[in-house]
Amino acid sequence: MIEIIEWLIISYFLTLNSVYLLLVVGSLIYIRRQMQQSDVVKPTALFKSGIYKTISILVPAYNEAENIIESIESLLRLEYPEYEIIVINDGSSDDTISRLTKHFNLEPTELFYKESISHEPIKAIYTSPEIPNFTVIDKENGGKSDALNAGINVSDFDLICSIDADSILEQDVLKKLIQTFVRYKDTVAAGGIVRVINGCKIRNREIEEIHVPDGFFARLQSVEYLRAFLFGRVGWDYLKSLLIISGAFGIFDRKAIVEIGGYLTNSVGEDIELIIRLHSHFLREKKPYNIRFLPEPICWTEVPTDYKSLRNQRNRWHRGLADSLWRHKYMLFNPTYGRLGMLVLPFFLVFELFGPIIILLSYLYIGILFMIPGYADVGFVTLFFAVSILYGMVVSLISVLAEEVAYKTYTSTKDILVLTAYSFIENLGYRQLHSIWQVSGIVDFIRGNTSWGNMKREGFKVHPESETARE
Amino acid sequence: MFGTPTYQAVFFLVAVLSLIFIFLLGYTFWTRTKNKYWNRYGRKFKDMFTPLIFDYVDSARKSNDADAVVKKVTRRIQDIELFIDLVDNMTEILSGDDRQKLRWLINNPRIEHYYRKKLNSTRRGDQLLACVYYAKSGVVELKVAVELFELCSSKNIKVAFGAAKALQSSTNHEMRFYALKDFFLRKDATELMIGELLHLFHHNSNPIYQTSDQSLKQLLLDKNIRKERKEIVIKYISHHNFYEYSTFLHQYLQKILYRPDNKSLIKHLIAAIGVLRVEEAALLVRNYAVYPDPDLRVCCVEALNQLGGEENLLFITTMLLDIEFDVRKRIIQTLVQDPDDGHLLLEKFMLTHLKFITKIWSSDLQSHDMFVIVNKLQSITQGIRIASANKKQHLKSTRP
Amino acid sequence: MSKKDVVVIDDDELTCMLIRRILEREFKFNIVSFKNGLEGLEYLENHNPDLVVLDLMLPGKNGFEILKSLRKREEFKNTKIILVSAKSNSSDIERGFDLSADEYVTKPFQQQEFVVRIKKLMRAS
Repeated sequence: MIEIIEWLIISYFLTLNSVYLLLVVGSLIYIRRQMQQSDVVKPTALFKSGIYKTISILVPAYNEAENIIESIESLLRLEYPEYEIIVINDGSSDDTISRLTKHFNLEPTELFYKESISHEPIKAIYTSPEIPNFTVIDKENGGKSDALNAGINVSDFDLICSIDADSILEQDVLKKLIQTFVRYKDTVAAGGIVRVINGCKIRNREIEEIHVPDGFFARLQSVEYLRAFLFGRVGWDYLKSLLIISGAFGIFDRKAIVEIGGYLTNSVGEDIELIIRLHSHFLREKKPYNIRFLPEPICWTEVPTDYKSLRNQRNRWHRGLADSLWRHKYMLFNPTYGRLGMLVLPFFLVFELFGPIIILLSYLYIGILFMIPGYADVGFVTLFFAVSILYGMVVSLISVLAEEVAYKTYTSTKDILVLTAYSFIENLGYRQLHSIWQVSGIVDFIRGNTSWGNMKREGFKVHPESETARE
Repeated sequence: MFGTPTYQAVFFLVAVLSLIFIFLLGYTFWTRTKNKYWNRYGRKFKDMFTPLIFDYVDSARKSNDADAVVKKVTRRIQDIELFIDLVDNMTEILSGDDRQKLRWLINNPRIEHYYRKKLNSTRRGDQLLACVYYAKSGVVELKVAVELFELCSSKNIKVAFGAAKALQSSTNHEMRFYALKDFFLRKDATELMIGELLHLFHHNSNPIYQTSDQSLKQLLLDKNIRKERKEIVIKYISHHNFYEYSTFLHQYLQKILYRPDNKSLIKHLIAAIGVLRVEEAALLVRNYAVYPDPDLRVCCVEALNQLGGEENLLFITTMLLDIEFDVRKRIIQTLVQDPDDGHLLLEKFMLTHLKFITKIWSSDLQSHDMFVIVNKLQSITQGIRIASANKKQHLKSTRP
Repeated sequence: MSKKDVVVIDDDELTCMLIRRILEREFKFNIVSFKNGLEGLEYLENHNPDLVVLDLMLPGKNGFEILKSLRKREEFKNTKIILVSAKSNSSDIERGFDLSADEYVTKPFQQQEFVVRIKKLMRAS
């Protein structure tokens, strides 16, 4: 009996880390191949031959008065022939809307559109006489999903791009992403690499230097983003099983989103839920579709730097995952949903959702073993630490290596050394702590907790000289 | 039970960990130092050669004046690449006589000879470098063209694409077309590459050919070329206003049968017919305007609006009660934008239907169907009002 | 006669070098150059040159915005501003002149033509 438990524990960690390892290595090979191909084609030719789609950038804004002007000004500088920006003021209690009105000389207007997806009522719509491709929607508060749904209704373009108000985008991001839509017909959704901006030198919303952040938790997250979000997602994309596109940046085919009914407003993990629903819909309808991940850095976002914010964020993410999987549990082991239903979702259920429970139980078991004298099998314990911690370190380190080989993003050698050190530290406590947060997320989900919590944001400083984004 | 194999596993993992760690540090350090070195080298090269080349541009009189400058470039591949790159960047800034002199540099026999050798090599990297060079310098000699055609059939898509692009710099029109067509037939070419190559094909055309050449027709008629690629060609034709293709596109649309796999192609054709104002095709477009696919109907509305004329606009107006909101919205937008009769037709529509509504309201014949129609009419009226208001606002703001 | 001051704002090194070369060779100018729109604008807060050569596609602030903010100020009402850009479509050219640029040169250009245009501008002042 004991032996079975021990075998289960060992094989769980072995499988988990091996899958991650495969994802990272596979991603690296795939990325190298993609990058070789991408430097052959010039995106400007796309625009000269007229093959591109129109894009609406939706910016849901809640109490973003400090940053909103700067954010929009930087979005107006994107390099793309035909796109529009729609800001949705989601019932802010601060002066977001008046600042926008003053800076852009907004005038109230009426637009003709169909309310395909329902949402909280719109109070007014504004446009700017000087800037033709800029619209502001002022509506009652309803949450980010609700705001996005309003934007989707008003938009008239082929694609919609949903971003966070404080995401910083690379100037050529639309040019890069449209290639995915052109290359893979029937693409309904696409995402890209989101990186950690803490620690980078920013000037006028443009990134001058990329550095690893200074804070303890921020550094841990830098490694984590590389391992799980960067290479993990590319790997899933290669297997055509991408489940998550970051809420910080995603591009979707507008008609497809309307077809499935837009974002859910009562779900904590609305970004995951949307993607799963897209998969579900198109697999069920047996229509060809593609959900892709572009292995190039396109968006930068601020990560929480203090314990509490980080804990809340991870708790929420896990609640979101639980919620999304629960809503679509009909897909599990259902052959209608092909590889996604039979393999990918079960994997996520066992290893991502319930994984933290198994991890904590394993540590508990080890703890019990030590307390009962004579029972502790040195062999087992050593093997356990080898496959859980050591193996984890190997995978984290390979992720850092792969980042260096593929992208060489970080400016100085010191950054790589820091990342290397933290890839060891990540496995010595952070991932275990993370599991605790995730389990509490599951508990909260079962209890029915649906709050978002607040992340303590420092925001980006608006100074003329370069300044590191503060911790 | 977990005896020696356990420790073997642990040692193995520790060993792998250390190896990766050392490799990571070594690799990082080495590549960054290498990059720093080459960046500095490139800088020095640019600093040295930029004034030299500018001086040359000012003083040169004939093509072999380039020899003096080219002699200073060593035979190292990095140097030659840097040199060509620098001169190429300059050709984007300078035009006319100055640019001609820069071309003497690129086409200098010593450099050409160097890349000719690379072209004949079997190494992929060399072949690619040669392709990039010939794309910049132009393909004049037959031997070079033949070699490039060989590379067009290479299994490696990058090389094939590079060679097809290089051939677009040839002065021989047929050569350029065949390179284009061969590439269009490749299974592994992506739409992005197709678009870029098509653009190069047209862009490099002798001005005479730009208007009278109809070689793109052959691409559209070829059965072996995929529909998605034909759509790119059609979009290109309309984007650049190639009016000489008007009749051909009309005939093409007449011949094509409506099938699920042709839908997209048909939409592209109709869009092109609109942009190119192929008025003879109006009847055909009106036929398609009643098909079940709403996207197709929207496309037809757009095209009929561009074709213009009383008959077409009237036809669009009769479509106003369409089931799909998108179609109705497009109709309203196009009719409102029309400078002459569009909004008059809309007014007439509103008046007639206003009478209809009042009749219904006053009688007792109120049913669910009537309710639907009335809702639709209300929505249409609202749309017309908003569209007209926005048009006026737009006109106001564009006035100086 | 004192030397005239020229400010060149262009992020492309080669273009900057070329323009400098031309200006130094044909005219007696004091030349200051910047690669970034914001830096250039900051400098112009405290200096009033006789001529500004401005690129449109700049990091920081783009050329049109700089042109607009310069023309708003009294001291720049008579400064000659020449726009240099690879953007050659008529709407951009129109916009440039609408915002009161004195000249618009599209890349690629011929050196002689550039010189002639500047000579014309300097004579008019």
